[in-house]
This record gives sequence, structure tokens and C-alpha cells, in this order.
Amino acid sequence: MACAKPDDYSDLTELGIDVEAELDEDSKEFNKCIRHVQSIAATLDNEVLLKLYGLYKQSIEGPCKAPKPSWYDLKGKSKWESWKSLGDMDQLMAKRQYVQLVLTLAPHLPFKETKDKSNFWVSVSCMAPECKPMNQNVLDYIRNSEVEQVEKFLDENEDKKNELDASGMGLIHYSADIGNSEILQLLITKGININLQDGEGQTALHYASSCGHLDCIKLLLSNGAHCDIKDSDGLTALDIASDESVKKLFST
Amino acid sequence: MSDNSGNIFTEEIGNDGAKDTAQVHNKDSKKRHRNKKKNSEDTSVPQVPNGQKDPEDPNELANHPLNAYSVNELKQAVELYNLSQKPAKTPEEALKKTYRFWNTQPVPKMDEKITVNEAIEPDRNVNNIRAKPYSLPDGFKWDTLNLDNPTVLTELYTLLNENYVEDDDCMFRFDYQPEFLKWALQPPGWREEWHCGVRVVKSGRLVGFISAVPATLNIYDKQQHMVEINFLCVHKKLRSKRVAPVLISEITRRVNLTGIFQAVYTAGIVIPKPVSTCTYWHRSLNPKKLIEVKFSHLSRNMTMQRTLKLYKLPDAPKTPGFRKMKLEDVDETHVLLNEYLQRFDLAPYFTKEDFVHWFLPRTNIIDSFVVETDGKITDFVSYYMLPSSVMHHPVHKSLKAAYSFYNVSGNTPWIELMQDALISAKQLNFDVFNALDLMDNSKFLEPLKFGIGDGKLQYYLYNWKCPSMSSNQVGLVLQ
Repeated sequence: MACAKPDDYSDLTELGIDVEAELDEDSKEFNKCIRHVQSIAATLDNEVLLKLYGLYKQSIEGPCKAPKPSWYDLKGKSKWESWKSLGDMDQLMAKRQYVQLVLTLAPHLPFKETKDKSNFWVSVSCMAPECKPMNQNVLDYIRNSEVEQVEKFLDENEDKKNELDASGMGLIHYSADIGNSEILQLLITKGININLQDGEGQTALHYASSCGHLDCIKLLLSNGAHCDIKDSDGLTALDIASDESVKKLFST
Repeated sequence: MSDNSGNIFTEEIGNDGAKDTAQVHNKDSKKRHRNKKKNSEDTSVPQVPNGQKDPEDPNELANHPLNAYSVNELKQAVELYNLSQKPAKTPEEALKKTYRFWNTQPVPKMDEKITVNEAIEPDRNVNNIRAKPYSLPDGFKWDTLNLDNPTVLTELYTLLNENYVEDDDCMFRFDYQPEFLKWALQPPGWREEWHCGVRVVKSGRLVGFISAVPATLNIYDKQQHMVEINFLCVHKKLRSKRVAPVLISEITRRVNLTGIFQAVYTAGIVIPKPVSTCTYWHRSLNPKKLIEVKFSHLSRNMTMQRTLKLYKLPDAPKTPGFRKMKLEDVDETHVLLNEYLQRFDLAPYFTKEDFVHWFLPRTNIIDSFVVETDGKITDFVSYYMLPSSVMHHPVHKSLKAAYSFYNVSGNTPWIELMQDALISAKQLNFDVFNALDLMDNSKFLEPLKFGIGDGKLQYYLYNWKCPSMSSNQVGLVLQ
């Protein structure tokens, strides 16, 4: 008994057309959850799988109208019962419950999936990303603006806040280099040495100035950073300013 | 700079989630078989051989008495309704796919071994070409766009701007400017009926577009007059209405009516069957902005300070005689380019009129430079200008990108010539300089600090089969 299959839009996807783009948010989330369940199905126990099955069938086909399987088909019967037990629950409600259930299994399931560009007829190419390292350290937290993680690190490693690493740089240099004023503010609050010099004699102000991070320069200056410290080339932060807008900040 | 091994800051945490992703994405293999028996017109009814049950029928799954309950079974049921059938990402993956639309078109099969260089179908008598346009779904109508009408041009600009890049979550969208579109769509020999639009009958809103422009290509040892197909775009609200295949058929019909039966086009996706696969490379001109908008990323072992230094360029071009191309240079430069392009196995042939159209500098569209030594033009570079809208960024709204077009190194070595091109683009305030790895480009990409991109560009020929070629044999750049 072949039943009509739902349209899979494959003629459109092979033209690079994103059929999901016109789906509502619920359906997009639902589809993502389905994909996720496929990937973790092997790790789920039968009870959960049965529940997912019921909600899935309800979402797609609505209330169960299939005949009850024979008594000797235990598994078929369990599945049927799971579906039947939902009664005439609304299909949208079933979708949402399915999503909720998947979220309890995988709370971190990202709903903003990064899409593969090769799926689309046209896309704007960007610089290919580097492989994400397995282990993150405090420098990654600084780069990724993970303020809480940086704060946790500072609280647990009071003695390391003014330390220079193997490349001769301290936390404050990395923060000023990347131009993250929020993290810089945190470091200042935590009592970091604002005039700490790196292996080449540069201060955080040198970094902020050469990279043109205006917010960071203002923040450093208003918190007592010295402008007259020279690096090993004999240059002050002003000497290596990236442009005129930076120089202006030093004159006021 | 910071080598993280043995770093004092190492506070390691495990990367969770790695396990979850380990076994994903094997799901497409079954779905591919599902369409095997269908022909292109068949959209809904599966063909199940007599007396044989469809193992993917959900009712069969649920009711079969001997059907053991298993994870696989659930997966199958789940897959059945999954709309997420993705296009192929690689030729290997595409080999296993069935193509409902492309199987009906004169294009080589994915697994076809090609040793000839010729048309797939013979030219047809124009009197035998279907005279009536193809039918659109109810509520839509064809409209040939007159791009000389500013209102219409704006409509096309808006359609492309809002819908051309399919991905709604994307960070960047091509922002083809109206005057750029006129340049791309009205080269010598252009025809209005090849600017093929689809409108909603009731509202008149423009919701679909496809275009063709004439071109003469050298493909290996043969010269062929054909069209370049570009700007296939369907409004996102009607992507499930099957307008795209009709657009392709309709532009084919309109081109066929003029006695042309071949086309060339490029796309990001793999479909039957690429002639060549090129990769985008990007050279940061404004690294700080590129990092801020997440176009590029600060390398893990780099600081911003060092990155800015790394990409810094001289203030002015260095090659003596490097200057903007002028109308008086056209004769000499035209010959220089056509001679150079003969080295490649897929390359355009430009008439002088074509050359003037495509290369004479136009503000914010196309820029060309030559090196003149002792009154003789020895080298040539050109790039077109295509900004991208930056989505979801509080400060930056647009990314200025220059795209390498056609370049000829005669007397000036590639690296010096292209460095001057980079400097000229930097002077014009571009954020990034993009180039494909075709022609001789790989000679300068890495030395000039281009980074490899995440985008590929596949080259396709319609109604033509020839052996595939490596990217450095390709001498064709489309917009």
C-alpha cells in the first residue's frame, strides 16, 4: 500500500533553493530537532524514542487513525500506543512538544546552524575559518568576549593576572590588542597593572593605539595609563598611532 | 606570537558536543534512491514495483507484523519527511545523487567520462522551437525587463538585494548596484528579451529573474558562440512554487529562438556536471574591519597589531608606468588580453567593442590599469567592484570588495603587478580583494598573502561536453 509521499522539493534543492527558508520558525526548529535526533538516536533509550516517535507522527500526520497492530507485534504496538496516547493533540502543539523533548536531551542544540555555503546557488565567500582548538584557554575567552569565563579565571588565578606568557604578553595586552573594552574594564576593576609592559616594552596603550581601538584608548587613559612609556624601539603609544582619530585622543 | 602549548594561561576545558556530531550526515544516501524511478514531471506519487512493499512507507513501518522495532526504523520514518535534502557538496557526493531536473537537460551525467569536445544535442531549426513561453504557476506572469527604465532597474536591484543569496542566516549578501547590473546585463549584443522577469499578476511585484548575455568562448580547440546565464533569482516567499526550473527552461527557449544552443554559467553548488572547480581567495586590505564583521578571523597565534602590520601595503603603486587604462590604450590592450587568453582551455574571445564595454574604467563598477613602458603597453590588470551588505552588525553595513577580473603579466612579474593592483584597491578604500585560483592567479595568491576562502565556484557548460579541466586552465570570469 503505497501512500502519497510528501513533496521533498528535491528539484528545487538541486537548484540551490533553500526550501526551508519559507517555513515558519516552529517548523524550522522541528526540522533541526529531527536532524539532531537522527544523530543521537543510538544513544537514546526506548522510552524516549517511543515518545519521540509518537510526537513525530502526531506532528506530521495528526491524530493516529492507523489500526492497532496485532497482539504479537509488541514493538509495533508500543509505537502505536505512543502515537494513539496523544489523542487529537494539535499538530503544532505536537511539534512544539517534540522540540521541547529534544531540548531536554540536548539543551545546547544550536538553533542558529551554520549553513554550508556549497548548498546554495550563490553565496559570498569569506575567509575559511581555522579549525577550532579542542581546548580553550583564557586567551580564547578574551577573543570570544566571554566575560564571565575571564572573570572566573581571574578569580581563580589571582597570581597570574600580571604575568607575561611565552610570547611576552599579558592579559591586558591581549585585551587591548583585540579591542575588547568590556574585558579591559573587567581587568582594570580586578586591579591589573594598567601600565604593564610586554616583552618589547609595550603597554596596553601601545596595542590599543597601534590598532586604532578608540574605546580602549579612552578607557586606558581615564584609568591612569601613562602616555610617556617607551617601547624597546623608543616609541610611545602616540608614536605608533594608527591614524589621526587616535592621535586626537592623546591631545585632549 | 602566543604559542599556546605551555602557556601560563592554559586552563583547559573539554570541548563537549564533539561526540554528538560524530555520526551525523549519513542520512542522504537513502533519500537518493527514493527518486530513482521518477521522471521529471512526477512530483508526488512514488513508483513502487508491483507486489513489492515500499520499505520507506511509514504505514509499512508501523504495521508490518515482523518489523522489529529498531533505531534504524525510527530513523527511516524520520528521514521520510525530512525536507532537508541537501544539494551535493562535492562531485563525489553528487555522483550518488539523482537529479530530477538536470536529468531532463542536455548536460553530461556526473559519472560520464568525456573525451570529445562537442555539443550534446545538435542545433535545432529555429522554426521548431516552442513559440509560446512556458507556463508559470497560477497568479504569475512573464515580464521582459527594460533596464533603461530606472523604476524597473530599481525593482531588479531590490529583488536581487533581498533574495539573491539564498541563506537567510547569512552574514553577507551581494549588493549588486543598479549601474553594475546595467554593465553586467547590457554588453554589446544584449537583448531585452533575455532579461526575463516574473511578476505577481495581481500586485505586479517582481518575484523572479534570470538573464542571458551573449559571449564567444574558446573551449579547447573550438570557438563557440553562446550566452552567459546569470542572476537566477526567485523571491524567497515562492521558493516552493517551482519557478526556478521554469525560469531556466524559459531563458533556454528565448536563447534558442535566436539560434544559440550553448550556455556557460557558474554556481556554488555541484550539479551535473562541472567543467572545472575554482576556489575563492581573499586578500585583506582592511583587516580590522574584516575581523570585526567576522569576514575573517584573527589567527590563534596572531595579535591584531601583527595582523595590521602583516597586511600593510605601500601607499602608492611601485611599478613605473602603472596607471589607469584610458580609451587610447584600448587597441593595444585588447590585443594583449586576447593573445594571453589563448593559453587557456575555457576563455572568452573579446571583440574590441566587448573589450571597451568590459574594461574601460567606470566608477564603482570596473577599474583597469596598464603598465606603459617606453610608449608600449606591457601589462594589464582589472577588477570589478561588488559590495556585500553586512547583516546584523551595529556599525558596519557594507563590505567593499574588489574582484579580480582579467590580468596579463608581460614585463612586470605577477607578484609586483598584482601588488600594485592591491595598492590601487586599497587607495580606493576597498576592504578586501578577491580572486579565484584560475588563470595564472596561483602564482601570486600566496606570496601576496591571500587567504583561502570558504567558497567554491563551479563552472558549467549547457549543451556541451568536454573533458573537465583544472582551475589554472580556466580563463573565464563572470560577474
